[in-house]
Amino acid sequence: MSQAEPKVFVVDDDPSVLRSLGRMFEVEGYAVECFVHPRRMLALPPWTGPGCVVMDLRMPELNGLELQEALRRAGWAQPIIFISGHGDVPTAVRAMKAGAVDFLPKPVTNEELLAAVERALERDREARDARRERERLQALFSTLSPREWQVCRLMARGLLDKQIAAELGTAAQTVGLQRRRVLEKLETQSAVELARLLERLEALS
Amino acid sequence: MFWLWLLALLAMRAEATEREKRVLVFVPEYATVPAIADFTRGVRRTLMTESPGPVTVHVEYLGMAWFGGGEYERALSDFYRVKYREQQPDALVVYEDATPLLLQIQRELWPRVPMLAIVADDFQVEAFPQGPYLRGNWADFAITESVRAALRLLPDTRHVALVLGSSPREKIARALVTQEVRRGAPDRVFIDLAGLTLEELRRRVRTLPPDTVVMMVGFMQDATGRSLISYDVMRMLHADGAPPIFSVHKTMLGSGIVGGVLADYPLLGQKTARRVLRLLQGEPASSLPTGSMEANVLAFDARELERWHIPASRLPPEAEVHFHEPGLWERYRWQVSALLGAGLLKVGLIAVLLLERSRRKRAQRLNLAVLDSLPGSVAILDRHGSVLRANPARDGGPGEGAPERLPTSGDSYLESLREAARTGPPEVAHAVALLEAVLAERLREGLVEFRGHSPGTWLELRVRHLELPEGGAVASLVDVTSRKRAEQEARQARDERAHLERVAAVGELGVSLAHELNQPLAAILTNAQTAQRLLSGSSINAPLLREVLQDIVADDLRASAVIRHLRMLLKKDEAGHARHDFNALVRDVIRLVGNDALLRGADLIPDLCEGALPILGNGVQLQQVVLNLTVNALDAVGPSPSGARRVWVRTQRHGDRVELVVEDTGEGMTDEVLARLGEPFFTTKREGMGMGLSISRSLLEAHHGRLHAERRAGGGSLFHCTLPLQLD
Repeated sequence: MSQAEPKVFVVDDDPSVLRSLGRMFEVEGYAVECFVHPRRMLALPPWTGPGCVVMDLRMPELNGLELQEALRRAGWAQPIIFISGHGDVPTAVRAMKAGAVDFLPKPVTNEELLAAVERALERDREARDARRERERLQALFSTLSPREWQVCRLMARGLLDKQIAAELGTAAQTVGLQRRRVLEKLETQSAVELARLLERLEALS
Repeated sequence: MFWLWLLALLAMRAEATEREKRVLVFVPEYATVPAIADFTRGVRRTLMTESPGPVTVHVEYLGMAWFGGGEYERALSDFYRVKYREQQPDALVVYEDATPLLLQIQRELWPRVPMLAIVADDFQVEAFPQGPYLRGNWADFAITESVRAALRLLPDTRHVALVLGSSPREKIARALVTQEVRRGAPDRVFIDLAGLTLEELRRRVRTLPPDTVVMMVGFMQDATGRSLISYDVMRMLHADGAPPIFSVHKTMLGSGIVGGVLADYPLLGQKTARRVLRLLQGEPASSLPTGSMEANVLAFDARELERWHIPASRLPPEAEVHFHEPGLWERYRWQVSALLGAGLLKVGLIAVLLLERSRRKRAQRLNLAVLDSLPGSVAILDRHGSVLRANPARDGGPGEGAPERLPTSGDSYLESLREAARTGPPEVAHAVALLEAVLAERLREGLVEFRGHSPGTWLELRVRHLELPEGGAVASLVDVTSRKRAEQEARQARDERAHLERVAAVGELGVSLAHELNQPLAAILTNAQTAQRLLSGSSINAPLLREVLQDIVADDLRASAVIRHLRMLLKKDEAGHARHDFNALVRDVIRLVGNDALLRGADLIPDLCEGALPILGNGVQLQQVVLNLTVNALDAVGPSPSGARRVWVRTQRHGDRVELVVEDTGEGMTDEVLARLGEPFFTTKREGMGMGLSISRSLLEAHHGRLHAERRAGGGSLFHCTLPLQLD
């Protein structure tokens, strides 16, 4: 299964609605996977590739919000689009807070649904990019020793070697050596660049 | 009709001078009854002496006090037909109890011979078809006049006591008699001695104030139910030293009463004969006077007058005074004594017989009074469906819509009903069938409701077999429009309530119904747009397109099924009863509620028996019952933990009934809830109207069904209802 091709997961307890949605996405060229029962979906290992989930909010046994929660716990990260028969505002708010991208009243036109799916996939893409960058940065920073971490943080605040040495209670020469190692490990040229990188990591984490 | 009668009349006139006239007198008893003898003698003697031409009088003694029955009456009829075949009568006289039979015989044998009927009371006359060939008169008792006469003789009287017994007839007559006595003595104190035991009566009479007169009307039974003869009672009272006693029977004269306005039978005979003479001279019966025969006379016993010191000057000039021969008594003591003895004996015998007769007459009078008091039109019919007697027309009886006029004696009730069936609403035929069945003794009793001629009116015909050897029936026709209307209004009100409750029940399902409807609509929209999309492409995937279109059709059908079910439940149905498969009705409801059950996390488990369960009824209303019980059960399992919310809907056939059981695993009902279940507005739900079960129960009752609730073994409740199975 190619990780690059986005996939749409559809969950609806109504077989005919499920079939119509699945077929529509297929016709539109998406890879689709349909579930008439939420439990089936949860039985699978979480999908790690790009994609989104379209589900009915009202389902017997396990409703949309409960499924959303269960998927999160199981490690599904894809954005969720809820389709609901009636505009239940409190439910919609809860769904959105829990990370749903859209909340569409039924019946929904294909355009609306496709637009929502595109938005979801875009967001998924962004999220995946961000995740990837964070992972890269985390990998980069994880090479630093604890002392180098201390030096790195102080460098990012714009302190000179002497100042850092005073702060850490070591010699300025030692700090100079550690500064070079940090810049080297983080593949950066200057303290300014390092500060930006650190800021980025903190924003992503 | 009129000219026929005229022709008959002319023919009679032409014959008038040519031959001897024949008069037939029919009396109920034999000549051994003195009153009968007196009456017939009075008739004969008067006719013989006063007729301008030759006249013969035949008296037929019917013996009705001793013999009777339809066969006897038919034999009499045949007998008279043969007997008088060569000697057609010119006039008929009928006295008292012989009247009903003679009305029939006249109709059969001598429809154009005028008849004069003398009956005991005015209300009997009212039931006659009076016309050119029939005139009814009555000879009644003059209670008021008798009291007035007493007061004239004894003006110092301050109290008037009425003696009347406690037999059922006397009890019924009491109010009327009391009223007549009071009317005769409006300014005197009325002492009511009616309805006492004999001992009480004698004690009360002994202690009456001296300025009292006693009006002895009768005493056939005392308050303890003991049967007595009024004549005996009167003698006891006389022997006890009662105040002056007055009466209304001339037969009592000479045995203790002072007198009064008394019925006089020879006089009655004479007056009857004078009317017959007019008939013989060609007058139609309808021109004879109506009303009372006025054959009462003012008569007194001289000995009693003397005993109470009533001066002759107080007697009105027309008063007759009997037993007034004191000189004779002195002179021919023994002969007179013997004569008097014989006379007294005779009077006693007459009195006894007359009392017996009057007892029967009372019975008849009371029966007639009961007949008259009945609402609607009541007729006693012979086994051919002809009216023997009928109560008079009254307000509030069957109005428009009844056969154009009320039946009177001699009409054929059956024929007029058949006639009404030919022209009237179709249900009248059922009434005809009922009457025929009862007359043919295939049926003892029956009841038919049918629509009257004017729209919106309803009549009820009740026919009951007459427990007599000759058969016949009593038919009563009552206007039941108002009852019918009330029933209809009640039914409408119930249907209205049922509808409201149904709307409410469906309203509670609203969200899930909306979902149910939204699903196919959503699928249709998606599929339709997918189809558009498929068509816009360069190459068309026909198999896929076909699949999409098939799904659209299926979903559309699904949506319309939901709407149809909804509409069926929501519409105000006036469809009425039809044949249904109860299983199909239940299945529809389960389909409707199924989604709701799913959303509530409850298992709705249908357990319907094999095959169809044919029933007759209003499908929507029965579905409402099923819906109501099922939704109640789903509500009941709401608080149970998920996985333990189960509702079973079972149907089965149980003999000739259909059984529906709705079972739930909820909390079950407390004793209090179980006891109050089905009371209107009793509910355990916060938002319920509390009408569901009470309406379900009344809907079931309208279908001859039953509903009961019980606790389910192992927790929860069980609602159980049955309906009659409708087999071909």
